[in-house]
Amino acid sequence: MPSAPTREELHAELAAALQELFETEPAAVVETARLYEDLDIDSIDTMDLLLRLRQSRGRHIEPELFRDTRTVGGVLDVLQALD
Amino acid sequence: MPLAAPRAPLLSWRVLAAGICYLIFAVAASIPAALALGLKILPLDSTRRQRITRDSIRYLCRFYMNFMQLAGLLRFTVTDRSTAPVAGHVIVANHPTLIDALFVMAYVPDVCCIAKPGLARNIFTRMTLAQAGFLVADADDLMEQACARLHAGENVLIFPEGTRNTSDLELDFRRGAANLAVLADSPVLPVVIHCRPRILQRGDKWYQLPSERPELDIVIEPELVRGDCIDTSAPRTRQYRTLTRYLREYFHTRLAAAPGAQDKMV
Repeated sequence: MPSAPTREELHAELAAALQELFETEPAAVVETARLYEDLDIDSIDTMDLLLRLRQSRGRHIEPELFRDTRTVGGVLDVLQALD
Repeated sequence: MPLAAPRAPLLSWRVLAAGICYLIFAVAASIPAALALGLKILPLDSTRRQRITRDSIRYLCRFYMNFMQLAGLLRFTVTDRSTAPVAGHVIVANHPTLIDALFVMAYVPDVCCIAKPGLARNIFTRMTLAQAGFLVADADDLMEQACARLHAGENVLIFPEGTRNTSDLELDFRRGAANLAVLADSPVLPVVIHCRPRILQRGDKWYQLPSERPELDIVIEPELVRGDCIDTSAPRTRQYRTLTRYLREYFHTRLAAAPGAQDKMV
């Protein structure tokens, strides 16, 4: 059974998804980066991001979990808590 | 600000006229509300009610624009370059003044506005907005609702700047309009509004009028079909961004070409 992905692996996956979907520079995707203010990701983008993560992680992710998430680190926290 | 002497009497008349126009607007705004109340008790279906309310808003806006022109407050021209019937379009307009939405509602048919939450709750406007079938900006399913309206043949008006701008050439377009056009797969109808000198800006008092009479030019441009503007094979999320940039460039080019566009207005 494959072990749960590390935070670094999740971070790399998230950066790749952001680049693919939103042309976000991977270098800008740091833990403290704010989704809206720093990375220009709005609420509609967030839904598309969830759809994309759902595909790559092969499991359903409740949008509710991200309701209070504002930063890259916050997204990683939620993703880590899933596994 | 010192005013040129010959202009001063004219200005005082215009300040008076502006006051009268605000009063007329308050009274006129209640006409569709009264109508809405009447329509509510008549056995009409909601589509019919919506159509009647929107038509009454349309003619009131036209009356209002012409009244302001007659009173010498402003001069305006409307140029219609649209090539196809306007139905099911995302109407995209720049937002230099308070009265932009009134111009669009006056000269584009079957416009569905997205109202500020405050207006949707205001006791004077909420009935009219509801009867006109306008959407409310803070609705959770705003995008779904707007898509449904477009597919039903209504025209949804969006100011990508979100609020009145401070300069014609520093356009800060948010992605809502492009999002909607991509999601609904609807054509865009640009309405380019040019006002010189700039009037009725955010923070202006009603009696602060420029020393010369403002000229407004409203141009309804031919529709833009997404496939002609951007690469539609890219992921949707990228299309939102490229279409937003395209639209911003589109408006910037047209506003920069307008006479006096380079004048710095403060």
